Amino acid sequence: MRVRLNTELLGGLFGMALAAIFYFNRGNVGFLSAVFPNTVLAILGVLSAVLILRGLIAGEPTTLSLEGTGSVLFGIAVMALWWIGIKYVGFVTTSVPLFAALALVMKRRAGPLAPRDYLIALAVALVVVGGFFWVFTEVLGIRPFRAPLL
Amino acid sequence: MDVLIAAALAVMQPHMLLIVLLGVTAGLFVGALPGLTATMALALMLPFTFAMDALEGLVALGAVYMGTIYGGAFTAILINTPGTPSSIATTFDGHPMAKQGRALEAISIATIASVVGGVVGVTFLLLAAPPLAQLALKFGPSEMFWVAILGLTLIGSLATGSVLKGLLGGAIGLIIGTIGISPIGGETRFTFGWVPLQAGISLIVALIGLFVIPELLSMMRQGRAAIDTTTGLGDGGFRFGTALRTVFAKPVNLIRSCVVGQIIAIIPGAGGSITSLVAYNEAKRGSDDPDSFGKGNPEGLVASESSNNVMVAGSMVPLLTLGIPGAPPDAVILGVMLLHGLRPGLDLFAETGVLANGFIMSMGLAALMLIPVGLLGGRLIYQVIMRTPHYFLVPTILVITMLGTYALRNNLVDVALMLGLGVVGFGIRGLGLDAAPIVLGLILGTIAEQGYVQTILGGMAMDIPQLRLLENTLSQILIVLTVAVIGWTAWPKSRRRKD
Repeated sequence: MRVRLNTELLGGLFGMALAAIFYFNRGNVGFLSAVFPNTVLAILGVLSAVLILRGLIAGEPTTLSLEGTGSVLFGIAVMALWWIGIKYVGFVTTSVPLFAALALVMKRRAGPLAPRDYLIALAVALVVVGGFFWVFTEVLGIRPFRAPLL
Repeated sequence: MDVLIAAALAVMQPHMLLIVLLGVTAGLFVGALPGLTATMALALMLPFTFAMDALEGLVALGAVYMGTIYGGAFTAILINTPGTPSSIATTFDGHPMAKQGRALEAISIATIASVVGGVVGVTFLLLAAPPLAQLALKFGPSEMFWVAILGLTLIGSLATGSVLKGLLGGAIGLIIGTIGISPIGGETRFTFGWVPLQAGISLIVALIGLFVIPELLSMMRQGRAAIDTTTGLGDGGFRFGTALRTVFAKPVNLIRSCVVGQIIAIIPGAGGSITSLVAYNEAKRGSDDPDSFGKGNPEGLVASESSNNVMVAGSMVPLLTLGIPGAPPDAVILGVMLLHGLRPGLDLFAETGVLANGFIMSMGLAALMLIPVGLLGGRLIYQVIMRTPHYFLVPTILVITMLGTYALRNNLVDVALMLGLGVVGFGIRGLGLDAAPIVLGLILGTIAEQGYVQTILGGMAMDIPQLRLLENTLSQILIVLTVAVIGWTAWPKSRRRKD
């Protein structure tokens, strides 16, 4: 499936929204801290407005393919779960199943999965996650994540 | 001279040579994997440098950078897929050579051209960087502000298809860079009530988030299928002697490509794919037989590979002298320098001359190591890139990015910010907003803000203090250059539209 988007208009709206978010959160800071961001916000607003105008007047829609959007959303969900898992469960215990799940979902797009694929994915996940965790904590001396499990 | 000798001795230590060897090898493998750019390679390698001292870390990243740019040639030649954007022009003649059964010869030519390019770039950097850093001393706050704006304009105009979107990206980077404590006023801004934002957005977090995560999401979206493996390596052997003669048979082409690469590389933000494409185009224009380009002419391969490796060291000129990355991967190297308390400019050469010159020399060593690593590892790399399934590559990179980002400050907030920025970066990529100007805006934000505020403070007696920014000659030259860049990139498009 494909959609036609006016990327200039949308890009301008994104810039304007960002400028508005920052503008309404300026807080009460002094001249020295405010003068530069205020100038940048003004420039951001002007550039966004020009893009919006150009998008409205002469914007040529760009065709974007929506193929694979499901995989992207799944990937974003996995990343969010990964972060929550690292924080509240443990790095290795979260990373191994999510690594395997992500690999299997991506492989499934090429064809049906065999039982062997699950085992391989799990084995690779264990080796990669365990290996890098060991390197970072034991070799590089990075303090491990503070979570209930490993 | 004493500093140069001390620097040479420092990088000739056995453990340094090992770091260079491992860095080049790692870079070669990453660069040979399509979709993994040099910026991504450096960002991924970054956490491994945390346990090293400043020189070791910089040497490792310099070697990875050199290896990655060269590694991109492997897939460009073998499977017509540039491993990195800077190898796009390598596909034009490299792959046709592979199809003619001359894959190994093409790899040999690419290797020699890369080594020549790398050594030329390093020599120029060694000779030009200290005097240019001296020149940078003449830059006051106003000039530094305009240099930052010129850098932003250049990358905004050249890195993206649209000048307006490029500039918008730069402005987004600048405003994100204001999050946290103000460099002049010292007050906290734009924290949105979230305490962790008081420390600002770490450059490394933004780099990994904006460059790596969108690539991973893109790979997930494409579900990249197995690549065409029908070509093979050919049975002609490396023909190293023939390749050597081929590269040096057309010295004008080699010199021209190195000069083109060098000139483009020292323009802040202009490096990357542009260098090799321009050099290729010039080689074709200057050739006796332009029609054979695109059909396996080694001249095209020499032009592309020599120029993109000149760019590696060449792009360090603005980085080491002004603190402005010449190409996006340099931003990662700047990140390492800042992590170790090193500030680019004359002080870098005056106070830490051994480190600065040692780093530059190590890139020359890395260039020379491309020969044994590339030629001996060529077949192995071919096997690895053919057999690495993308569905294991993506989660593996995700594991490294998570661990690497956490390792920065032992802080899970950084991981959340990295993932968040990555998702936003992927979304806005669809709108034509590139990550490079945003990251450069983030890097140049502090330089620009300090220059801007200090200049205004000096002009408080004026009715409009901002007019002080326009006062001196050097600033005016930089303003003219900035306007010229915008005009130069915008004008042909408007003319084309009229046509």
